[in-house]
Amino acid sequence: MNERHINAILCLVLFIIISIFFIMNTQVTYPSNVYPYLIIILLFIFTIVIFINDVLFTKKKKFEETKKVNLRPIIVLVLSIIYFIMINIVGFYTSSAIYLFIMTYLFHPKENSFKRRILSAGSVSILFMSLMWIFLSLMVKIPFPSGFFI
Amino acid sequence: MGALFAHGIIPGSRLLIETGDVVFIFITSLIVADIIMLILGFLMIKVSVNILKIPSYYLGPIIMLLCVIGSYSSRNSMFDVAVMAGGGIIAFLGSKAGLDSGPLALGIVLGAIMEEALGVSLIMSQAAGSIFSFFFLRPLCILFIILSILSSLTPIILPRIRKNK
Repeated sequence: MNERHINAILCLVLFIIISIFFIMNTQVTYPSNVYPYLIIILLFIFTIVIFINDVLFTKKKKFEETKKVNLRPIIVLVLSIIYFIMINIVGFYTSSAIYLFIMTYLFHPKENSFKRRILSAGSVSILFMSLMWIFLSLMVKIPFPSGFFI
Repeated sequence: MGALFAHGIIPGSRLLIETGDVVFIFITSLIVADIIMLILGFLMIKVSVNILKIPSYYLGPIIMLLCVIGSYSSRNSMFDVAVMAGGGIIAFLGSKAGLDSGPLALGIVLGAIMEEALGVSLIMSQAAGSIFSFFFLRPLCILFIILSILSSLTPIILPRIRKNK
């Protein structure tokens, strides 16, 4: 996959977003529809510019092939999406404590022993969530979403 | 500005005449806060620099949690958390494609204000009789249009000027 392919995919995604915006905006009446139409037109113009500049008139440039695929961003992305979904199901404090524990454990240096990683991740998640509960729920009284647990 | 809006005060040319008492309290509290910040910053700088020593595997998840708390507590809505998550994912994927995430954050912050102001301006232009003259022929509008065009063209023109040098 070269840079031209990446930009072509980007343009395609932008065109899909523009189409969805356009269809949704047909239900909006004047003057509320003016701002979304302006955004759609600007997005369309910039997408055309990207397409002409980076897809049609660009030199083929291959990305450096890396042997090792960095899985870290993908793991963070997947875990974060699961966390956002779980907030409403399990409850904010429980899901946050689990998320904090898993993330800290996974990205703790592998040189450390299993016991140390578990202890470190557990203590950070319990300590931080306790502090959050004291400051946000007891003192500031922010109502967080609760599911099966708190 | 947000605090003024929260108190039902609309910033404008008659701000100090109509609601001077409240605005001066805001200004005074800002000055007091700055003085306190100066003293606190001076005393705490040696302690607070230790935050930089916290490893990223502790800091990353905690920042994510604070992002969730911040976006949720503004309106007690999970929709805001979804917007934050969506914005984060788009910014991450955009950074891989070479797009800057700064304008995205600016768009989220300024978009709502701009939409509201545009709606008000459209209604005012209808009352004035001409949309074109209201938006394009006033001196301040012309100045901002020129500035917008210049700032849009800067990324194209600047590299060429540097190349020629």
